[in-house]
Amino acid sequence: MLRTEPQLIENFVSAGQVRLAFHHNLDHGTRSEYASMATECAGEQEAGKFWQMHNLLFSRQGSLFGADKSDYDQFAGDLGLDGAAFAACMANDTYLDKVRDMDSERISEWSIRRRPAFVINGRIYEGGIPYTAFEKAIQEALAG
Amino acid sequence: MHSRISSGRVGQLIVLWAAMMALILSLAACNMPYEPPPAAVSEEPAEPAEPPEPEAPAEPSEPAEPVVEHDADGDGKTDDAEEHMAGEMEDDAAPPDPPDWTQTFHVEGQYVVMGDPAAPVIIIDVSDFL
Repeated sequence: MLRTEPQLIENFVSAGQVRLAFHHNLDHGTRSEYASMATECAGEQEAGKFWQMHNLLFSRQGSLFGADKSDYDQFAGDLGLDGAAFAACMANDTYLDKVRDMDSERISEWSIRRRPAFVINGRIYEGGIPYTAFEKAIQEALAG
Repeated sequence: MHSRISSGRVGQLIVLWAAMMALILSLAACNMPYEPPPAAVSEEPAEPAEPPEPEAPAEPSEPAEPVVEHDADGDGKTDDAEEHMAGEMEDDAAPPDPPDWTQTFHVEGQYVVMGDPAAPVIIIDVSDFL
């Protein structure tokens, strides 16, 4: 969702027409779990920090493939989080079950097997979607 | 040849001279411009209620106490009152700043959601960070 998300946020979230949520997908096993846990541990301290960590991780996507749990402590520092609390959250796997459950749900609830995927007011869209298609889907959802 | 003037004659001349001087001075007083006496109290002002031109104050021996109320434009309303009224009008006219929904977050079930909680459309991004 990297390329279209900023446009969606600027054009629809800011206008109060759309609210945005993130559902964890763990296609890359443990490394994906670390990244998803990091966003949850950040959001535990402050809701907005979830999305800040989300943006930060996508911006440094290339460095995540070789990152261990402790490597995410640096990201927490970059966002001004409570480092000790964040490190404990990661070390204790506080949100491991949550992110794994969400990953299971995408298959059991939505049968989503392709990335990226989006659910817009319950309607599933799989694969890369151009921004214009998002606009159309949103307009249809707004029309009821 | 000078004729001697009698002392009586001199006296008469002096009296005449004094009378003439008095007459001259009285005539001079009559020709001076009339200055009405200062009025102690005026019951009805002759002109509308305009604040009088302030006279140049005499040099005070001590600094005068500051005037509490100011009326710069001379319309009878004090500056403080006008500023207060203007502030009230500005408050009534200026609409409140709209919220920044991109910086508004709430929890819906298992999600940390960005945006207006009342927004009619929800987009769930099903993604992997890697």
